[in-house]
Amino acid sequence: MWRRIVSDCEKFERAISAFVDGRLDDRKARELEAHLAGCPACRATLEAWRLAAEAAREVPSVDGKRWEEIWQRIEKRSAEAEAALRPSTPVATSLWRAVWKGAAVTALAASILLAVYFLMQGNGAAGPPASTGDRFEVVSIEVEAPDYDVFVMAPEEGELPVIWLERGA
Amino acid sequence: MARATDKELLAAIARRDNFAGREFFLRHRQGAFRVAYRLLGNEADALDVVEDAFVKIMKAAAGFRGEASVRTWFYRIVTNTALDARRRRSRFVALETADEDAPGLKEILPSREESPPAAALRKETAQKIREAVALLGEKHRTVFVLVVVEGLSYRETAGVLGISPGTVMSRLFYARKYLQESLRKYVETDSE
Ligand SMILES: [Zn+2]
Repeated sequence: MWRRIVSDCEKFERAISAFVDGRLDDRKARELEAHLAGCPACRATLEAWRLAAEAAREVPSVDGKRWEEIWQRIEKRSAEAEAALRPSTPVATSLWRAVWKGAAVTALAASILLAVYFLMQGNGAAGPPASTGDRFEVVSIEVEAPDYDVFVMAPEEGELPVIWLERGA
Repeated sequence: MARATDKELLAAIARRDNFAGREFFLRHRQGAFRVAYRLLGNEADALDVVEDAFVKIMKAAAGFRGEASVRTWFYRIVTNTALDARRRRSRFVALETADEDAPGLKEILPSREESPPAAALRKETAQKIREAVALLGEKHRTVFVLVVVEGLSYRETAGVLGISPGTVMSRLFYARKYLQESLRKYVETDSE
């Protein structure tokens, strides 16, 4: 008789575990309830596990200002990570040179037809220009590059414009 | 206006939509924090993990495959980030029971007209439970946190950890047995 009770309780312990998680089906839940009614030991187990769950769910509250600071850092770090993946200026410059030599572009990728004309006046290494228009004039840009995205980055004051290609997704 | 689903938010994040990123953060920061806090045992480390995990999420959103569950994917990133942080700080593990900043049981179980000694005992019990959770081994603790603290299903938890649902149930069961054992002197068991 004693043996039988112990083995019953062991069997029900797993049901209690599922019951605490709200994942015991109705039929088994009714069986368990019937057992609990006559078994103080299993009732104590159920109570202990419920208590453990409630205590473990409690965490300190974090105030809104702190969360905001964390979000700002996430945004900043994400932007930095993304910028690091972009081609850097030297790469863009060499591409720009390739663009300049139309034949080289054709050799680079037959599907790309680029005709980009820049009138570049003066030396890029010279001091800041009086205005961007003094140094560069975009006459026309024609792009036919189905597999590529073409990016043109507006120059900062006194810097070269950056054009680069990225194979599209 | 219909609320965007998590999947839609991830797709928008992949298109570098910052509003979507913020919305996803607002929705899930608390879940990430609860997991990290229970796995690491202190607030500062847990918040660092939340930050690192969301940076990874923003970066990985484009790689999220539509057929996977967002929940599983999300909790996998958070859990792995927390466990990595924990391993890096493993020399502090022995001291990791400090939990003084967590609210006491009085806030957890608002009880009617409790005598001060009973309230103190409850508070103490909750504290002992949290300490016992902190002392669980990594495998058992992780399962306990995902299922009990976050309410993930056995199947979802299995997906997060790359183990079978049967293993989840078994680890959870032994985690509970261990907690119960360590609480024997605090939680009355009238069977004895
Ligand atoms: Zn029983």
